[in-house]
Amino acid sequence: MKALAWHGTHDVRVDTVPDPTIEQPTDAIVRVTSTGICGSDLHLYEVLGPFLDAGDILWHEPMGVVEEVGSEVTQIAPGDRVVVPFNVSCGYCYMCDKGLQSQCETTQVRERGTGAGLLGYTKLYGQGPGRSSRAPAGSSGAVRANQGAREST
Amino acid sequence: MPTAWQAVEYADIPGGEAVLVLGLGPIGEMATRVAQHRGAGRVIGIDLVPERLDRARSHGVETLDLEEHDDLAEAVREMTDGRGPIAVIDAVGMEAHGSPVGRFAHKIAAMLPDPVARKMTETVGIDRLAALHMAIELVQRGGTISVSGVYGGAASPMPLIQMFDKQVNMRMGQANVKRWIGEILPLLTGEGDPLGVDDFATHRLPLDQAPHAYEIFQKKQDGAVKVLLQPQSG
Repeated sequence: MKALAWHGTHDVRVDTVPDPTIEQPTDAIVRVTSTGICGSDLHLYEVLGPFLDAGDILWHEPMGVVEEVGSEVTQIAPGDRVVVPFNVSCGYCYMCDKGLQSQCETTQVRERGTGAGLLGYTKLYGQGPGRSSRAPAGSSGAVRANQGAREST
Repeated sequence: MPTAWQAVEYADIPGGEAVLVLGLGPIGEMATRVAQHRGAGRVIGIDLVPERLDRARSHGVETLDLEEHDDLAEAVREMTDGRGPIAVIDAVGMEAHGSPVGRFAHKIAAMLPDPVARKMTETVGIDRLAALHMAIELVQRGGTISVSGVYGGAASPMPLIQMFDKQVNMRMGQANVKRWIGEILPLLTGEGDPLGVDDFATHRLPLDQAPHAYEIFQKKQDGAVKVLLQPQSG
């Protein structure tokens, strides 16, 4: 598949990368139909270069169609139109119960002392190289949008 | 959208009162619309990019152009009975214009060998704090500052004497996206388009134009405010 990869400050390229696969039973694979460029992507584009490696894939505002789900995913199914929050959160921990998904204790990046993992946002937030459109914690993360959801925000 | 929603939630704007939004990029502009939708009395927006000011004005935001004011704090106080707005949303973060030292330092950091640059970014607090310091200056005594713009420094100098003296409340953090979905989704899928999301994106480009998309968004060229990449098109 094609993906947008960081190669250096002010240098992003569309690369051909391996297709994502289901790695955990809570994963989902989403065919992205729209993804926004966020102001925080510009931090990666410019000032946070030291935290990136060439080939890191940038994406965190995706909307799309579910292609495949892991065995523990029950709330979304192939064919569903979904929006995937950039917080990677489990939905059942102390912090998620308090509505603080950005601090999810299951996905906190403890080795860096940071909060919940963020999709496509470097090793600062739990993303190793080459992560593509695999949505971790798809069972609690992705939100079904269905028809009528607007692909504009 | 959830980031803008949380920015307004955290700003804790009493019904009918004024909120000022620093920075009219996609988050700031959407925050003005959310604040209007949720009953803010006045919504004031500040930026220096003409297209962004025009967009906000067309949605009923009172705008101030940074290029036209030497004393922003005074201009804001004149608009707000001398007290300043009870809530300020800082939607700028690290990308602020107009701070040559910070900009220079960031460029230097980006050009250093990785371990050194990381250390500098994490511990020296190379940051463009101008917007946040301005928020502290502008907010009404006892008011609330809601920070949605991302700051990256670990040891950023802050005017604590002024913050304590003014009894400033401050809230910040990454959006807790799922927390706000229940309130937001009906506004996106129901009748009408109360937040004007249908025409919010300024650019919809195929994935192979992503390098160009990043460039125009970063340089604020071609009216770029919100850029969507649509891999199935093009």
